[in-house]
Amino acid sequence: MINFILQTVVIMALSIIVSYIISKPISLFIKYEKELPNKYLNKIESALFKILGIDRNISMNYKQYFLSLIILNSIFIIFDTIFLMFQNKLSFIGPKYPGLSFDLAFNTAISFVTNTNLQHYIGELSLSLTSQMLVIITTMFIGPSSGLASSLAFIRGFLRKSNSIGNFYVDFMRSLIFLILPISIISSIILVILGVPQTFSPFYNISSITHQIVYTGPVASLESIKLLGNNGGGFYGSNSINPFEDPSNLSNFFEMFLMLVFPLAIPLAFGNLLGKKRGLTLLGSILVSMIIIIVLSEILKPIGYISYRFGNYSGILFNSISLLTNTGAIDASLFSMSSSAIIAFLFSMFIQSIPGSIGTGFMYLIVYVLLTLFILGLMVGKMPEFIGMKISPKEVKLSVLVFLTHPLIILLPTAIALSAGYAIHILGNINSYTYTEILYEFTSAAANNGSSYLGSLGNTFFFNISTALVMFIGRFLPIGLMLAISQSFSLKDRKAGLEPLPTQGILFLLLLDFMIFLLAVLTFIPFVIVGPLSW
Amino acid sequence: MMVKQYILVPIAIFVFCLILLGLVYPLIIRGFSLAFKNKADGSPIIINKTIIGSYLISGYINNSAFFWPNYNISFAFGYDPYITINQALSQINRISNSTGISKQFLKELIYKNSYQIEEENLFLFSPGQRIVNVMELNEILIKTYPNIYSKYIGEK
Repeated sequence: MINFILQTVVIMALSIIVSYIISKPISLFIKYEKELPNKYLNKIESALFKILGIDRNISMNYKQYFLSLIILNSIFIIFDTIFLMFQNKLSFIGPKYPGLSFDLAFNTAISFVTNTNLQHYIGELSLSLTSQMLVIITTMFIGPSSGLASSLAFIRGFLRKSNSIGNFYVDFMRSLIFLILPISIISSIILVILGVPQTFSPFYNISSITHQIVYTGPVASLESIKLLGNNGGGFYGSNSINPFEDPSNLSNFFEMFLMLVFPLAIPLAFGNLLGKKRGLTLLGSILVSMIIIIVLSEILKPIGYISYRFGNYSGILFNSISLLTNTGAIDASLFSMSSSAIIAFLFSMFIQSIPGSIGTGFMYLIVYVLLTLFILGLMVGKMPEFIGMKISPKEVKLSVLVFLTHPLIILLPTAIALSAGYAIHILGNINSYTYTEILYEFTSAAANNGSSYLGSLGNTFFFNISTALVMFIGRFLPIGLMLAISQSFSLKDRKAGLEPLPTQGILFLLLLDFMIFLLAVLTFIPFVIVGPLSW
Repeated sequence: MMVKQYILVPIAIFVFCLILLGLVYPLIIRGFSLAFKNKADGSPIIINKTIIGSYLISGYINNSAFFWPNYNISFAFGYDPYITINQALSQINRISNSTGISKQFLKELIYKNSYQIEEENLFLFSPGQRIVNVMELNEILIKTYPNIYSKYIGEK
């Protein structure tokens, strides 16, 4: 027991230390939207931007910013779909697998671009190594870089008065080239040292004792960005349950560390710019809710097998952290998890912000802050303010829209899948367990999480197209609305002095956590009662 | 201006990313990985130039002269080679009866391997139970008793 607590504390402390280091450049990127104060970075950036045609002096309003994001992301969706459909013709490294059907290719493309990584295919048996590299690995950088970029613009709106929120291409390239890619390279090498393969030959044969085919590939370069970018999609169908993705308990904890680094860095970067104490309060509220979810997930014994190389505690802890950061990787089957763990996982995805995935998680947290301030303002009869700016009905309406999008795109398709016979078709019958599998599938798609009960069972036309739409709306509608919130704040006058309801300190920390859980419970509890709560 | 901003720039970024992230990045990692070639190649166990298995993925073994993995934890291809120390100890009688190797030797082998795994997890990150890797154990058996095991290699 003491050993487990020590392991958790060590890995959390290590994540927070590295997050603190990363928060420095993140806050620089937010503050210096045009030229960076560092001479060397500036030189690299200028040369690169010249080749790509990016003009740092163009500043975008939220509509232009969002449009640029959508266009760049759409190019990848189109490319990924076409490449996967014709991978048999386009691949130069095997194995020679047939092209995917349109609906599966489309689902996979949306899934990876939206940082979800829901997988209705089995990687080692469906994708050539060329597809794994050009489609999967490449796109795994695009989602998180877009997410981090939008959070940079989002925070900028609170930082200074202006009618623009930054340049998407600048924010995207900085996130990718100076942060995500370098850290990904270092962590890939560490993963290789820990035993993860990195090769360009797709498999080797064993014709002695066991007679088996061992599938290999550039697993380490995929694995690092899978976790660091809160992607979660495995090289193998069995994700981190497979020892090639996660060879030992040491690598298991290293992977947990990777998932936490960026989501915990962004509140600290926010604090660097808008008040240390305010940043620490937000980080504190994340940590407190994380502990609640982790305790809930560990409280009951698992009902099935968890790899002996991790043991029950760290096997479940990995899944919790993966769900909390909306990564969606798993190191033990969801079918092995207890009902309390599944409830914890569902609530992690309902909330999306403790800490949530890279970039978007923090934006959701600020939406919760605004909703909390609005509700508290009503209770005490004060005009709510955030960082010296009055919160107007417009921002509250946008925040409510962000909040309501989530239940809508989860419950509507779940109801359709259950009532129109699509669920029965793949699961045989509907009971509390299979209902939960469907609810979980759409929750995971809507939260851009990607963990799934269905896996390749979900490879039907209905589930491919419906989850693709849910992932697309669940990703881009809230980002658009949250950028609009940021723009709205960036136009406001800000005054110094005390806030009527202080947004820092222990009291606000606890109030925020209380409101987050209250809102999630009030919205979703009936659907959990029918599901895992009745097991 | 609009064409450049919303079409040319994103296409340029797309091409740049495809080359950098899809090709250069995995190649760089492969380059570094050559310093750990066995691991990078998928941890094959090679005895006398023949691949007899992988340290990290076990296949289906039904020969009673070897340690078996736990068949409850499986993937699309193969099994987790890690089992608890008790599951390994319970196989000692079978292996000893089949090969004539002393039970004491097998027991020591198991405890040594288990300690080695704790060491590899830096002790702090041990999984809360003592475990062994059946493929590592099988490799040591084959290498220590070539006379007994040579007949099993290359046949099912």
